[in-house]
Amino acid sequence: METLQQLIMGFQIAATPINLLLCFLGALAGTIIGALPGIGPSAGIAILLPLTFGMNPTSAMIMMAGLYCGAMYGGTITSVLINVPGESSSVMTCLDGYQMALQGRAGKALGIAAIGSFIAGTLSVVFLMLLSIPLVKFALSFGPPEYFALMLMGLCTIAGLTGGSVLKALMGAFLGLLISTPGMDAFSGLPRLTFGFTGLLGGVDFLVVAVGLFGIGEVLYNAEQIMKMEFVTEKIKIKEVWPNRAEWRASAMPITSARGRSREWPGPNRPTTPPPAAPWSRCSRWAFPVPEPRRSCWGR
Amino acid sequence: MKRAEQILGAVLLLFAIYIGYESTLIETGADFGKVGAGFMPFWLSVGLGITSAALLGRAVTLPLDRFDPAFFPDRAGGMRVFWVFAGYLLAVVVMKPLGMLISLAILMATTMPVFGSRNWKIIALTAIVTPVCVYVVFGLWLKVDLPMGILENVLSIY
Repeated sequence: METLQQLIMGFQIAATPINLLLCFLGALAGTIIGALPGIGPSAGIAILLPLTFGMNPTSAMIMMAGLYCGAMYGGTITSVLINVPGESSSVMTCLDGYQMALQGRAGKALGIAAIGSFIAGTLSVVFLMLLSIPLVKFALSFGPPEYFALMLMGLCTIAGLTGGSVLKALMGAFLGLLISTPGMDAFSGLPRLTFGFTGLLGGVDFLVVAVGLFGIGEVLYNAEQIMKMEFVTEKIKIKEVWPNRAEWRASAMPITSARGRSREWPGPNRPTTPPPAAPWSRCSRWAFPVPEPRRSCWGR
Repeated sequence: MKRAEQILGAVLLLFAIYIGYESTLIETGADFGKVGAGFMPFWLSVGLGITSAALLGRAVTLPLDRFDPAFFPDRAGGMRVFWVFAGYLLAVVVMKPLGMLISLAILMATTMPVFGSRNWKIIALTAIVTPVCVYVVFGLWLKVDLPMGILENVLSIY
């Protein structure tokens, strides 16, 4: 009962006009920052932290929360439109979102991503609020063997994720793990595979690899084809971003089952949760088969 | 794709051998049951070596009709990829000595003929304006510590 009262009090504070306005401004700025490849929520908050100087702490926290959520969603924009993830958690959005953009349905993809983020984020907060105590107990029972098993499970899903050659998938897994090894060894503190570069002591950031993997690949693909830019001049109505009934049906499972609940797991962080969730999202690919033509752009 | 897979398998096999060799040179440090800093990279390179050797063997032995059509449709496409790739490589190489602004200008100048206009005036204008915008926004406004290279004494950030 006390928890409920505190929750109501929290809503009362958060729902004041000034806090709602600050939350909106934070989400807007976060979306713009998140859309820049390579600048994620953490960097966005660090850059825009001076904006909150002089505010009362509650409003500042609300603005920062809006900024964080906006930046998390902002990464989706570049994932969908140009196949370059804006930040690490939107890597898997490239798989489905960009394919929808190639069909000329980028608006729908962004709409589904926004609605999905809202629903999954809200569900996550509710789950966290209700289950935080048992979840903490569960998380504390996680030791190195459990983390190892969890990571192994993530790697095993590679076999399920690859539609083509399992051999190439395993090669990719080994190569990916090798890319993660440069830096200081966690146990001995010795540098490994840094080749004398001090910049490699901190390891290779996941986002750099993801942007390189998707971004460079897309750039080279476009270079190989003769890139033809088509600009759609017709006006796009905001209601066209809203998914229709079939799209709702196809998106419901990935939104509620996979992305919502997988973030409650104690072990994996943002980059590692989406891959296990991806098999669920395949249902959306069944619903939206990818046609042959590759180049298209916003709208239509 | 047969040739592409042959190249991929060979390159990754050489890479795995090199990383495996480098891993054996890493000090073990404290004795954790002979598991040192080089343990993970060594066994990962073994895994990569085995899979890349398998890919190479498969690409060499299987007949051509078992593979997808060629990756590059024509020589011109390959040249464009090479041109963009060379531009990226050049920009990375000159990033430290010449600074980010000059390397960005080089990158724009080398990639624009492939992706955008072939008008040299537009290319020159874009190659100049883009680094200036980056410098103003990130260097002057957001105070990001950009690698300035030879321009360090000319253009100040702080």
